Amino acid sequence: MKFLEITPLKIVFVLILFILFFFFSIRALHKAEKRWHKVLLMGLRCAGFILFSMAFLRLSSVKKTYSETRGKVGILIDTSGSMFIGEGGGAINQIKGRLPEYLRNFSSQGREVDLFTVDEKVSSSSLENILSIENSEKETKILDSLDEFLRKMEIDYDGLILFSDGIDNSEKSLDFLKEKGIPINTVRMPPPSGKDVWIDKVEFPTVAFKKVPFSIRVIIKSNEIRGRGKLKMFLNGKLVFNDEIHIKKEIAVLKEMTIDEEGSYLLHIALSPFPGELTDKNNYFTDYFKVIRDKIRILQVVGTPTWDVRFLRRFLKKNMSVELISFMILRTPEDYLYFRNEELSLIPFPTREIFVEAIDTFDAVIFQNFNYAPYGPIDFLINLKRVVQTGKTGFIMLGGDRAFYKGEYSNTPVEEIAPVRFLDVPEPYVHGEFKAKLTKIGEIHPITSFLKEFIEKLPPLNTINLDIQPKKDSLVLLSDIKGNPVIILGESEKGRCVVIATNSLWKWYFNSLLKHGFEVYTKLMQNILNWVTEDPYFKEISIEETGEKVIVTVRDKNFKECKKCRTSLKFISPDGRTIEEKNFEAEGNALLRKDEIPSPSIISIQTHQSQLYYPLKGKENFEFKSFKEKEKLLEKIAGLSGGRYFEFEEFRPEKARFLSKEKRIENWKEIKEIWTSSLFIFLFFGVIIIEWTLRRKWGMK
Amino acid sequence: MKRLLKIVMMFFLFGNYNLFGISPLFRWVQYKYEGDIPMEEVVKQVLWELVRITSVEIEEEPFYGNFDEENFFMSPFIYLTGKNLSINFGTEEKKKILSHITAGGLWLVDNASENENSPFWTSVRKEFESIFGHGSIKPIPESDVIFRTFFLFQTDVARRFELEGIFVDGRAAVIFSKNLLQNAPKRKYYMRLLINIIMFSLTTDYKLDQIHQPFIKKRLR
Repeated sequence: MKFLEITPLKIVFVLILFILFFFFSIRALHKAEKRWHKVLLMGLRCAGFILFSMAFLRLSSVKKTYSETRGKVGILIDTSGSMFIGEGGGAINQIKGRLPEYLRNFSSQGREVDLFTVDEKVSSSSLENILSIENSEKETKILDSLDEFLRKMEIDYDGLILFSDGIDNSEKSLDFLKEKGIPINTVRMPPPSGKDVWIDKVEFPTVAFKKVPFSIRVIIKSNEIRGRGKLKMFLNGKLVFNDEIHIKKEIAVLKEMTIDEEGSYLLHIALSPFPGELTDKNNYFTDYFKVIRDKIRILQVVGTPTWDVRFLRRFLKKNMSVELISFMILRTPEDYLYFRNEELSLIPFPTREIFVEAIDTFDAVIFQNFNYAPYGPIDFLINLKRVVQTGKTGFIMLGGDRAFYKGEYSNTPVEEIAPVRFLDVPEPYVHGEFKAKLTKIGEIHPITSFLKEFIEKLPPLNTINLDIQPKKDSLVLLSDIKGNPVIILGESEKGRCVVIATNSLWKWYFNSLLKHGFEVYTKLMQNILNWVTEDPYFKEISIEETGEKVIVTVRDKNFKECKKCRTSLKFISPDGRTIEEKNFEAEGNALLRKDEIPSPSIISIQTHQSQLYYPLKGKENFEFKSFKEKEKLLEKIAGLSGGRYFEFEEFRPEKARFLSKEKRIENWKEIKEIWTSSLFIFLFFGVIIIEWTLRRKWGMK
Repeated sequence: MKRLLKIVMMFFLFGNYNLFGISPLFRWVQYKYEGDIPMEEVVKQVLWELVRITSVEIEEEPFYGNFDEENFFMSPFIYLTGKNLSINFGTEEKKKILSHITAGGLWLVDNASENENSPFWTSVRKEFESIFGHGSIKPIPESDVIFRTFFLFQTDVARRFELEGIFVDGRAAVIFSKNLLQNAPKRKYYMRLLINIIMFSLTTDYKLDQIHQPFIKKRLR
């Protein structure tokens, strides 16, 4: 029984009411003739008041019911790749064989069971689903998955049982297991074992430098396998190493390489499968690295020291991204020669060292008013042409009285790669002030477009070479007012070349420095350097990854976004097979959806002149790299969470440890208010009627 | 014969040349003021020698000008000499000198007097110290690139010149010498040092590049 509306205020009210009632009742009953009349009437009145108070305070009867239950159990089964490897289809098949029996056992204990799979995450499953899983490539992330599962768990399990081989690729600490307080019983499945050979480790720099040698070291381990095997290495799908190796317990294979192009590279290593080995899934390795340039290595060869030379050198020396090798001809064979070597600081022009031994190491070669003829055979220029045309080295040629035709470059490999022809004209090199102006292409080309707002304010130039004629495919960015070209760009096969047909650009530099103004020269020369060395900003094709999309931008040779540029797109597998190929006409940007591109793969894009390889990163999978259990991981999980650890053969459901949650649970309650019952109403009115009748009978009002 | 050819060639090439200071070729620019000592013939002799033995090409005519001259500061090399008259720069002139030097210009300040306390020498040093700070004039060491830009000076020879300088960005941007131009035609090493300084203005620290070091070290006693 319980008062439903008992509050202090109501109690005070009832008490005050009772005192008043008692006072007036005593006064009213003093006229009673007999004492027992008085007592009886007072008793009846009090009974009536009590009944009223019970109704006022809502005296009710409350009835509760309770039930007894046992907590649920969660069974988590490791379904990562390693569980499917080994004899008889791997450890997963042993679990599949016993699982129905475990479920029956729990059922007989009165426990409900939820089933889950564990790989990279914990997923709800069913007996049918688990029995039907045949294979998996997924990684084991036991600790990551468990942590997430325990945090998001909505059902209050009495305990969990984890079946796993203990091979785990998560990096998490085990501390979270103590927090939740749910016992996790672990059952160790035997990890895959048997004859096997695998790529255990590959050591390589995640960032390599352009033109700087680096090495890739592959460590191969084997268990009970000996003999000859084949090892192949692919870079962006191209085979770079293919050799026979002798498999023993552990061997290391070293490959030295130098890469000439900046960009991202997908490294894929494949070891030939061996008959009878446990799995060949661990015979492959795929990862990525970047090649960046450390510094732009520039060779500046100068025919004679001038102010133009002095300020170009100043610009290059002050440029932190440049490693400069200068060579200046300070004395020609025609100059007075009769000094002893000890009197001079001069050294012989190291033609052979530069043009034969080191030519491949330069990102850009600058010929500044330099006449090559007295210093070496034409073969040296053939080497220059080779490195330029293979795209290894950019070439810049600056004017003067010994450049171009006057420099005897006509009909040489330099004329082949230059964007201009060298002409025999009456006035090859002219002095006289002239204002430079941007051509239409110059106004939009990224090298010179910035000049638009400065060109009128810049001091005039004073020299111009007229012994040149731009080739058909070249671009003239800057000219004099008569239209004689001053800055000309061109491509020669994969290489880029710039001709600057004056040696008075230094005025723009010195003049702006004197006025503490904007250093036009610095930006112009930096742009030219970036363009000839194919800085990614100046590439005709660029790729950008944003969220789920890959944006491909194709530009024409004027660096405007391409309209109807014929473009070939290929997806190449890490080992060089073309997975998909399509040709289309690019209209500026092309959007590709990442989920439609096989991963990992290399996207190859080719337009008329340029080609770009872009590896699309897939998710790294460490599952098959090693079948080693994480040290005592399953024991630790059981120990820290308060569960028990079992070997598979020892496990019985009744041995697992769970929380004791067999408690009474209040299920429902019934409330009946007393004053609403007929007995109460009968009693209440009965008492009042008896009291009124007796009072009247005994002659009171 | 070679010199004659060069001069003839230069006449034809540079005949239509615009005024001064705007050519990429080296030009002797001398600061003209009332205490200036023009030594045109000596300068021509130095330039002759420069052309004769190096690959440097020059503007034939030296130029004498001052701060008011158009394009005066467009020459990265300026020669300043004097003897018995002191020299004073105004505030604006000092600003221009500072700007010229920090932009990469070189001043060769040459005492034409035997007297180390000549009015020119004391005043010009004071003026430059007022621009670059007291104590900014320091001895130029014998190992400085100035002594290696073309001719190689052995340490004892270099020391004799007692060159001093004001260093900006690690290079001697103002060089203080004694009777360098006057003695050039008469004394071998003076001529060589002048040629080295001209070469230094054109090539700066080129001879400090690694490629030259083994050769230079081998040739120095």
